[in-house]
Amino acid sequence: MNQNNYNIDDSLLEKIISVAYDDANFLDKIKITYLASKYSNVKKLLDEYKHTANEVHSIELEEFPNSSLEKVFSQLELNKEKQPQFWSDIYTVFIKRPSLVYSLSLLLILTITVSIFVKREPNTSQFSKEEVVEADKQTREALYIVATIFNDAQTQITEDVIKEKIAAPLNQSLGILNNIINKEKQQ
Amino acid sequence: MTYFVYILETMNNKTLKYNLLVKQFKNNIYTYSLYMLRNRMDADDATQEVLIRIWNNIDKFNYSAAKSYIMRITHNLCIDFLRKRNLLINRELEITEDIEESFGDESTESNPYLVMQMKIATQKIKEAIEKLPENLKSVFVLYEMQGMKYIEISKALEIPINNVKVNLFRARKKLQEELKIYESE
Repeated sequence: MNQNNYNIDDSLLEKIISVAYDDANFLDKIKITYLASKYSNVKKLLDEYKHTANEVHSIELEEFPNSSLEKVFSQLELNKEKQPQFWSDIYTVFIKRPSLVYSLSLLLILTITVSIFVKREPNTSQFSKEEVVEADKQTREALYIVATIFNDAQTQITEDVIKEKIAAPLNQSLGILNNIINKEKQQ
Repeated sequence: MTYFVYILETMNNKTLKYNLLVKQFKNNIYTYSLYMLRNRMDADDATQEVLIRIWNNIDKFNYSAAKSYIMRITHNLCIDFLRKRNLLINRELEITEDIEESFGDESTESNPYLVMQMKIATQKIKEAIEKLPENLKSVFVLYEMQGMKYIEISKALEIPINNVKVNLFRARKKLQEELKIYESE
């Protein structure tokens, strides 16, 4: 521990006191604990305040004497007053008011439960087995027709379009170019 | 809203409501009066007066802020007591007899030396608290001994929250200084 004294101003003292009385924020607690571990004067001050705080918090409330309370009650004539509303109060506090809350809670729980069970029912098929087989057959036929069309299109492109419309003119133009180049070389 | 406040608000019976309030707050009122007035008789009178005022205002009560309201009545009444009886000048503390009563039973069961040490320490603290100036003492007692929050104290004493915080800091500092003077004596 550093024996040098740390300069304690009013702001720091306030934090030390708050930490000692256990109502400081987290950062102040860390800061003061760190300073107390490093500087003896901070630790001494913190310990003194902590000791006082503990003593203060251990003091219990003073008991108001029953005899004085009796005096108040007799002055207000409370003991003589009848209490016809006692059972109605018990009913109001424990049954009447809470019953509304209970009913609403029960309704909410029932709604949630029912909605869960209704949603969990398995989805049954709306078509017969024959209809499913027929649909499958029709799908296969449709796919076969599409495949045939694609096949024909591919054959026509590779054999007719590419050979006659592209390859032949290209070959002819390349021959012409070749002849021109040869003639230029001879000259 | 706490269940205590809910019960008070739903009850129709005035007497039962009053009994609940008295049971809950009578010791708070008495302790505060004792520290402010520094005299058991006066504190007793002040507490009785507060309890009567609570009964008279039971129908107009805001139960969710009951503690602030009751402590405000108590504080104002204590100030009146101090003004009327000219007790602002320091009076001799008369709380010692109560401490002796509260430790009386324990001394037969535990170490008498330790009990005596505790008794002296507590007595010193109580005396030091009593010596605090009124404005610091009121905040200190309400916060540290009655467990009230800044906002509740602010309402009870009708002062801004910042003043509550500043007075609490000053009270804690002053108390420590008073205790140092005791130790040096």
